Amino acid sequence: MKDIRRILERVRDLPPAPIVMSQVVRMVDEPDVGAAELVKVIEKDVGVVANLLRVCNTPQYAGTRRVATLQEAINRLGTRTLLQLVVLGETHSFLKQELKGYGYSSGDLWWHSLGVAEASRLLAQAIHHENAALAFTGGLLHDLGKIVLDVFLAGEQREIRRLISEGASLSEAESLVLGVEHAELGARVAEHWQFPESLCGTIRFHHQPFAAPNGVDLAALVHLGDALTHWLGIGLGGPGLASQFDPRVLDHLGIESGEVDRLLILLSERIDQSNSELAA
Amino acid sequence: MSVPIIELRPSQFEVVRGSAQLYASRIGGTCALAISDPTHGVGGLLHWLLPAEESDPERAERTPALFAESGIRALLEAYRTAGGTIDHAHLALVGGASLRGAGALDLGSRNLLAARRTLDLLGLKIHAEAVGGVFAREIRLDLPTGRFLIRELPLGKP
Repeated sequence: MKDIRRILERVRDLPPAPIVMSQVVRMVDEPDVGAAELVKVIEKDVGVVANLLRVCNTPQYAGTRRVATLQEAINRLGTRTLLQLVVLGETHSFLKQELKGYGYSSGDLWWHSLGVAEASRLLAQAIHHENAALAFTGGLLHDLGKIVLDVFLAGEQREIRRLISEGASLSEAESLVLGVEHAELGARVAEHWQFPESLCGTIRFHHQPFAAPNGVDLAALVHLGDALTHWLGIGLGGPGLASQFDPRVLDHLGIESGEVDRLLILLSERIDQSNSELAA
Repeated sequence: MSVPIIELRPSQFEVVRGSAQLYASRIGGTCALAISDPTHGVGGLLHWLLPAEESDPERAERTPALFAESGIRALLEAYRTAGGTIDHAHLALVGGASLRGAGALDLGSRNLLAARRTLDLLGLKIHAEAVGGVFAREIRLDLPTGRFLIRELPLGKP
């Protein structure tokens, strides 16, 4: 087994999260975010503003008139949607990277994370959850730990694949071989970056939603969102579908099993739409 | 001149007469069916998403490759129209990976069941398959040779 202390030290040595990202992620957890408050945080970073305006003017969000200022963007999309767009823009650079240890090509983890984010939001909207933006952000960041763990997988893939082939989930195989699994590590990164507790819990328990001590809902949304995304193959890499699904999440969320195929179609259409937006 | 490479995402199919490489990757719980007739230089690849179209016949009409049965029927029709024959057909089935614990809800198992039922119904035989398990796969169909290349995506890169 690798030295778990070295892995945890790597988390402690991570630089702080970019300031806009960390403030915006905290805002996602707040029940009411005022437009003025949001502008104050975002306008500090010209790059964030430019990227946001670019996205607001893509066909998916554009209206009849081009958006030229932050205030116009907020008027058109509302603070909640804008928050999610900022989080997307701010996480893209580290989620898009190639993870050789896991066998993710450049962009694979990004697409998977975006898929789970979209799926979690879709499910949250379907059950009228109070904070679909938080479900979206939890989905987007659920595999954060893989970015740190990736380098420690070097030379261990054969053993991990053997364990998975014998019935272990990826998390179980990581724990056996490395002493820690990506969900726990991701939560520690989120804590290091002082993300809200609800988000850290969602990341930590996305494979075991019923173990979440501070509310099952968000972890259950991301757990089911992760399953839908895996089935569709969005950003699927070397670990494949090596997760343990807990079907009790359907009952917990009040979703009929007959609804799953309709949700898969909706998710697939949303991802195709994002794909064509990015290709445009 | 380079051979065109055509990638098929879930809900898409393509049939080609001549030179091309048809390709589907990151096949998880979805399924891909390749058919080729090297004698006539025709081949096709279907990548479908869901097993049953009963719930949404309108959508199956609009996007047949979304579902197993309507997709397989559409692939066969286009293959025959392009000059492919059933006598010379080689078929390969790929995908249907499972999520452990999902039971009757598991998309991969349901897709494989639908594929086998439809192929039986149409009297078609599979010549090569790589299905089930948990790992993601990809398939390349090289035309006009009709050669299939199927692999599981590796954990880790050299």
